[in-house]
Amino acid sequence: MLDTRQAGVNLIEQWSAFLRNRLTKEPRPILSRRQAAEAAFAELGYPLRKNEDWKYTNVSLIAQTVWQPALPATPPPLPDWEAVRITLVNGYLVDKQVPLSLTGKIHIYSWREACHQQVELLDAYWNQVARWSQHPFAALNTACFQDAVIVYVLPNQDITLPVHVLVHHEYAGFGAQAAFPRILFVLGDHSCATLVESYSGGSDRCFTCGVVELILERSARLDYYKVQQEKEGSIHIVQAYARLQAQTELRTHIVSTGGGLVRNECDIRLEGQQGTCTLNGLYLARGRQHIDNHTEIEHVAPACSSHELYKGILTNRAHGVFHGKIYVHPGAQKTDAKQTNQALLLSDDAEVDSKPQLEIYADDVRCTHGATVGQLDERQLFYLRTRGISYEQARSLLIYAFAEDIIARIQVEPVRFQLEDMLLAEEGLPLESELRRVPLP
Amino acid sequence: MQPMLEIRDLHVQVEGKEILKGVNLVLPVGQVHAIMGPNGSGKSTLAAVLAGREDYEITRGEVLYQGRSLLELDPEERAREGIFLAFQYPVEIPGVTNMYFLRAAVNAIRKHRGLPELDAMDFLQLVREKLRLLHMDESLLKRSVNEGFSGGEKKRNEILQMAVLEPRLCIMDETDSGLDIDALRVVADGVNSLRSPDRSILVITHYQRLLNYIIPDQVHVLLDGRIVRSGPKELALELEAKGYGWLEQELMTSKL
Repeated sequence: MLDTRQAGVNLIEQWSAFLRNRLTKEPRPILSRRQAAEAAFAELGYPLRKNEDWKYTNVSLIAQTVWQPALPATPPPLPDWEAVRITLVNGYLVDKQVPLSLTGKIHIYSWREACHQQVELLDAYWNQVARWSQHPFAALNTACFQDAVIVYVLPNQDITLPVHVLVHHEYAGFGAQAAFPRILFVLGDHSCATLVESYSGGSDRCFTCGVVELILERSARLDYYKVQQEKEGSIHIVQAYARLQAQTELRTHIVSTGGGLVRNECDIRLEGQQGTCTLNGLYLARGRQHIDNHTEIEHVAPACSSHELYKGILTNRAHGVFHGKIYVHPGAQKTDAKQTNQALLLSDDAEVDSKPQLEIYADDVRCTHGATVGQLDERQLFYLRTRGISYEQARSLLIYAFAEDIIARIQVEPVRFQLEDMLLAEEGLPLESELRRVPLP
Repeated sequence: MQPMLEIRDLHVQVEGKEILKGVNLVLPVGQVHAIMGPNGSGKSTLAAVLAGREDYEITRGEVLYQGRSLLELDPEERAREGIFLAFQYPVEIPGVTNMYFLRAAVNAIRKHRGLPELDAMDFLQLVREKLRLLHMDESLLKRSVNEGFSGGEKKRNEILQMAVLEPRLCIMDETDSGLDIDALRVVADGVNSLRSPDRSILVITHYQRLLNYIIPDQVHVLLDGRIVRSGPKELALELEAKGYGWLEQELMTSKL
């Protein structure tokens, strides 16, 4: 039997040269956190399925592979919609573009820049919310990344353009390679912004092991999008951690359509009163894809709300996992937490595992959860067909309709359009712009 | 002249149970016929079979639509050929706007007829006119198909679809059920406005009430899976006065 812990130690040993020769000279406190993470990974090893958090997602394939660190590479073409643009290739920051109108409102640093000029910023925020001591892949990322991007939005700023981070994994063409994208996004008091991360590239010999930290200071508002469209067979384990202070608002939209073995982790800590978070998730899994969405919401402060809606569309032999944990601390009275997850199975061999987990240690709270797994509704199909709509088109329309409420919440148009195109093209529905809720003239 | 619809000795089973036991019916072009019958007589089964529901098993008989065999066509092919079923219980489709649904349907049918598809503007113009006819608010177009519609709105939405799709054969399955008198009148007005020399309408109903507004050319009584009597519109009044028990009784005696 595979000893996953030994595999973890082996990786660290194989990579000792890589880990000792960091590209950036790091301040001592930073370096010591990195070394602690390295020790944590060696201690934790790759997680086994007997670990409750990994019960439905088997990572032994990762443990059996000999990985090489991915090297810097050239960026792919960038999308043309207007945005603050940040490009990470194989974890390395290769490009950043801030429109003139936003200079002085938002700062973007590479890891080297931050280590040299922004030690206080790093010290205050970096690696504060990632739970590397418990999560092996967060520890692995924290130990291994060579570059990172740090985005700091100054207090009282309204960043009207989306901040788009393209996280691209470029396969070198030989061996198996792992990339460690690392993102820190800090929103100062009373600021608001939209962050869009899109994951692309990859191959069946690529492993993207990422960590994203989102810090919302008082009264900040963030719309966070993650669109995962890596190539077939890619391994993607990216863990996003958010910390919310009082009166903040976070909306997450996590969309997965690509990859082979995918785990989206989203952990949110509500630390100040009247923080609200809304989590939207959508995944489309086909072939033998395995897509796991793991969310953990911690209500630390009172009077916060978390509303969560995840939907999955699965076909062929795809496997979906939803694990939603809500933890309400003893002091978190007046918590309002709602969790819903729904799956649409389009084939007999597709499978979904759903695991809600509510731990509530306060008495004056409202917490609900619900899960449904269903198929396309025959009555709806028949109704559409009696109006002249073909079976195939009716089917596509109903698949689209299943995802519609999640899609409708996507405010960034290029992201929404791209997703609509993909969903509809996937199912062969002739694309018509009218499906996009075009207002009546 | 060839009839619009001809049903010959139609036998249908649902989950192994025979529901239609030899239905015969001829509906000429341009006429309105009513099929009346008590609950469980097979009215809705007949409507569903004509529209193409696949889980009903046809064990004997045939159905000719404009002289061509209907039963091997898919539901969408029937719709494109001009058959429309107004559902007794219109189905809710959350996530698809009424507007998109209607236009997709219209264009599927137009394409089949070799007509150019309508763009959003042309379509809106067409649908607005029909909305007025049915006293429907334009906001219904932006809402999901039938979702959260009142009973009356759902039925009006069926008639709206009928008006927009311009079928040749309309089958109305208990369109009057669950409607108050005002809504009934609006729906009936809508249907009457669609009466034309080249369109036939089959009105399926339990009660005579609707037939005060949609005056049929002929009335058929469906009892226990068979048409047991056909007659002029006055037959409906007789049924209303005497109830279905009277006919059942009479049939029993004639059998003896």
